[in-house]
Amino acid sequence: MLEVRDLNAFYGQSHILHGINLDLAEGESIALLGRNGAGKSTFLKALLNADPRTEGAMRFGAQTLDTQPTHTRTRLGMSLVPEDRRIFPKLTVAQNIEMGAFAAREEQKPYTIAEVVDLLPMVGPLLNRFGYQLSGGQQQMVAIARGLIARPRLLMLDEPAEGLAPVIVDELSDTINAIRKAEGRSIVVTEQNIDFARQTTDRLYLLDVGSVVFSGTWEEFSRNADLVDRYLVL
Amino acid sequence: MTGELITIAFNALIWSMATFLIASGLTLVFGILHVLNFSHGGFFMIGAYVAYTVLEQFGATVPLWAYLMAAIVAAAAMGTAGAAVDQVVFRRLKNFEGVYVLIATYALLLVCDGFVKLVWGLNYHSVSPPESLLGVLFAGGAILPHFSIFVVLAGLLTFLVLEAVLNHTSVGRTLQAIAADPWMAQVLGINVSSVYRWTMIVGFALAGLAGGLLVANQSLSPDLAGIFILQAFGVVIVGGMGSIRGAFIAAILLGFVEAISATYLPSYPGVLFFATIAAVLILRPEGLLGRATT
Repeated sequence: MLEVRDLNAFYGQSHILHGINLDLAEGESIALLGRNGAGKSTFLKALLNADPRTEGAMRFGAQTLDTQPTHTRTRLGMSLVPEDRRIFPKLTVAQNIEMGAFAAREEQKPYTIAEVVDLLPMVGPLLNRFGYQLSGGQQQMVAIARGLIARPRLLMLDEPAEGLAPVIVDELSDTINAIRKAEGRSIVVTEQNIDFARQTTDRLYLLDVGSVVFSGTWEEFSRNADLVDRYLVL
Repeated sequence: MTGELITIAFNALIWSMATFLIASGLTLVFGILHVLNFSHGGFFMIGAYVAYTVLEQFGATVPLWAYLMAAIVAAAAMGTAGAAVDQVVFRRLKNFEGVYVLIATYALLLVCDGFVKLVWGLNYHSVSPPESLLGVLFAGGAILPHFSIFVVLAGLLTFLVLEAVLNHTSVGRTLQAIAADPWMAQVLGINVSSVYRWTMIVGFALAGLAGGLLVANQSLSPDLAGIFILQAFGVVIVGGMGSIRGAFIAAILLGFVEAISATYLPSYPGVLFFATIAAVLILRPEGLLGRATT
C-alpha cells in the first residue's frame, strides 16, 4: 500500500533523511524506532508534504505522491497524529474530532462521533470539554480519535506514548491494537519506547541520523542485541 | 441635559458602528491570516468611490434600494479585488517574514491612492443619503437623523452576522481551527490555501461594503483612506488583534471616548482617543479580548 524509494528530506539546507526505502502492506503495522533527531517525525511529515522538502519516489495505493498539497494527500486516506497532539484549545473535544472528518475520502463516509467513541471509549466523557481543559493522556486519545474519524487507510502515530503515565500507555497500546483490527487498518508508529512499539506493531524500521540501519521483524530485532546499544540507548 | 446625554450616546454609537464596519474586515483578515493589512483603508475608499459612481446614475434623489445595491456592488468589486490581491501579492509572500507583507500592504495603499486620483481625480465628491432616510427622529431633546440610525443598525447587523457565522457554524469552527493552527488544519485535510483566499475576499468585501454604506456620510476625496483607517486600527488594537467581538466592544468604548471628547474637550481632538488606546495597551497589551502571546 505504501512504497517509499530513495526518499531524501530537507529543512532549508539541512539534509535530514538520506535515501529511505520502506514498504507497508495493507493492514500491516510497522514501527519506526530511533533516538531523538533520527528523522522519524520528518519521515511522517514528508509523506504528507507537510513542511520538509523532499526528493525521491513515494506511492500510496495506486497514487504516486509528487506535488500534491498536504490536504490532498490526507484525503487519499493518510492520517497523521502528531507528536505534540495539536488539539485546538478553543474547540470542544467533539468539535476537535469533527475537524478530522475533512480528510474523509469520497467513497468512504467518516465515522460518526458515536462510532469513534465505540472505538475509543475513553473519549466519551470528554466530548463537551474544551481542548485546553485536557490532560496529556486525554489529549492523546482525542488526537487519535480526530485522526481516526475519517476512516483512514493508514494511521500514522508520532510518538503516541511520549510523556504519558505507564497505566495510560498500557491503555493506549490496547486502543491501538483495537484500531488495527477495525477495518484492517495499516498503522505506522514512531517510538522510542521499544516495549510499546513491540506490542502495537508487526515489524520495525530502525533509523539513525536519517538513514534506515535495520528493518525486520521483532524476532530478528531481538536476535541483534547490539542494535539497542548502538542506536537506541542515549 | 437629557438631550445632551442622548446626543453624546447617539454620536458615540454612530462613530462606533461606522468604525466597526471598517474594522471588521481588517480584524477578520488579521485573525485568520495574521496579516496586518494597511491597504484596508484604501479598499474602503475605492468601495466608497465605486458606490458613488453607481449612485451618480440616480441623480440627486437616491432610493434606498439603489443605495443598498450600490453598497453590494462595492462589496463585490472589492471582494474581487481581494481575490486578485491574494493571488498577486499575498500568495507570493506567504513564505516571507511578516514585515515584508506589512510593507507590501503599505505599497498597496499607495496603489489605491494613485488609482483613486487617476480614475476619480482630486476633486471632492459627495452623495446624499437615500431619500427615505433624509428625515430625523426627535428623542428627549436630541435630534437623531434617520441615516445615522441606519448606519448604527448596519454596523450592529454586520456584527451579529459575523458573530453567528464565526461561533455557531461549522465554517466558523473551521476558521477558528485554521487561525489557531494552520499546519494541523491542513494535516486534517482542510484546504487552508482556499480558506485563506476566501477570508481575503470576505475581508476586502467588508471594506467595500463599509465604503458603500458610509458613502453618504463622507466628503469623497483621496484622503478618505487615512481618516478612517486610523480609527479602525485603534479599534482593532484595543479590541485584541483578530477578535471580531473585541473590535465591536472596542468600537463602542472608543466611540464614547470620542463623543465625550468632542463635547467636553473640543479644543483637544483625538487626545482622549489616543490616551485610551495607550491606557488599554499598558494595562492589557493583548487588547480587551486578544490572546496573550509569549
